[in-house]
Amino acid sequence: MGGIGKLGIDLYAILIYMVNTGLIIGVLTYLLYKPVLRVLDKRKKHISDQIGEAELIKSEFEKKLKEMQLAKEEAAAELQAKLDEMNRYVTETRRKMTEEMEAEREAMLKKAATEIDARKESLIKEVEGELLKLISKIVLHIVHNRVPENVIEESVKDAWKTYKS
Amino acid sequence: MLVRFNIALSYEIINFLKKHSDFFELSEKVRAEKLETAQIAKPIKNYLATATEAEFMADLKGLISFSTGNNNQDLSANGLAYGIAIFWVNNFAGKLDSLAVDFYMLSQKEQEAHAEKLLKSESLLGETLKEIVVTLTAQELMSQISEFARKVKETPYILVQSPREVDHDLKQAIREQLREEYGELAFPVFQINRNLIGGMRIFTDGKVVDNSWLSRINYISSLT
Repeated sequence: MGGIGKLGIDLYAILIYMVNTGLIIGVLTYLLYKPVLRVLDKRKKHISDQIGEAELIKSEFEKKLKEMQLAKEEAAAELQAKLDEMNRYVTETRRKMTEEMEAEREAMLKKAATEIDARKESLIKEVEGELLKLISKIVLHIVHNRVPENVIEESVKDAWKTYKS
Repeated sequence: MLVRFNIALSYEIINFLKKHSDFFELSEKVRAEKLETAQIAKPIKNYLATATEAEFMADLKGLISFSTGNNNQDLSANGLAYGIAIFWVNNFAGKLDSLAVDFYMLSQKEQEAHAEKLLKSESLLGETLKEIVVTLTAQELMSQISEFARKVKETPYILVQSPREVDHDLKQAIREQLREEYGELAFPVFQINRNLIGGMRIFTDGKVVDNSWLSRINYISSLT
């Protein structure tokens, strides 16, 4: 006790302090530290669970995202296929329509050509008919006014001979 | 107008029978002899020479009925009407055809003079015929004769068209030929159609035999 006591340090008091401190530590540990730890653990666990859950959700999300991506890609592929098919259909239809239109155009052209020919023919015939009528009129006029009486009388006799035969 | 002739004929026949009251009791030969003096056309004399009294009465009754406006009177079995039709178609037609082409252009007096030369008889029948020739146009007369003949016997209506007047001989030849073809009462009606230009066209009940120049020109015109 000598030196330490001289320094003003009371070992006993130190001991008491130490016991007190130990008690305080024990009490605190029991009453504060442990609940706090428990709370912290709980919290930690909760957080950890939350993180796990978040991870799960994240992985689920990623999975879903991947699925969606996949589905999107599939849909895009399908759409593309449909588009391609549609394009082919449109192209084919356009080709067919063009062919039909071409055929129709050809037919119309032929019909028009035939009609034009027929009209031309009919016009020619009409003109011929008119011409013949005119010629007939001229001939009739000439014959009517210029044939001598005796020729007409002879013609009547000839006609009668023809009738009898 | 032909009705007047029928009535005049009936009058002449009755007058004749008055003079010969026993006419129908006589033989055909004696009748023919007695009829020689009568101023009646030959076909009617032929009829009177052969008909019985009953037939004559029935035929006369029918003829008078027709002449007084009964157009429905059937003359198809009437011997007297047949005799008259033969007179028109054979005897009178020949005289009609011999009329000058320009007869209908003449004045009435000139026509009467021509008719006098053509029909010399002074009897009522002759006078009636002259009146008929002067009063009617050739076309009207021929149409009425044709109608009467067809009433007596079913014969086709024959129309002969020519561009100029057909001369007398040719008309006679045409009449004879057509009578051979279509029966004794066939009576062609001659018509002038200057549009024919030449040749002749004969219509027989709607059918046509066209030997005209017009038809030939039309035929040639139609050849394209």
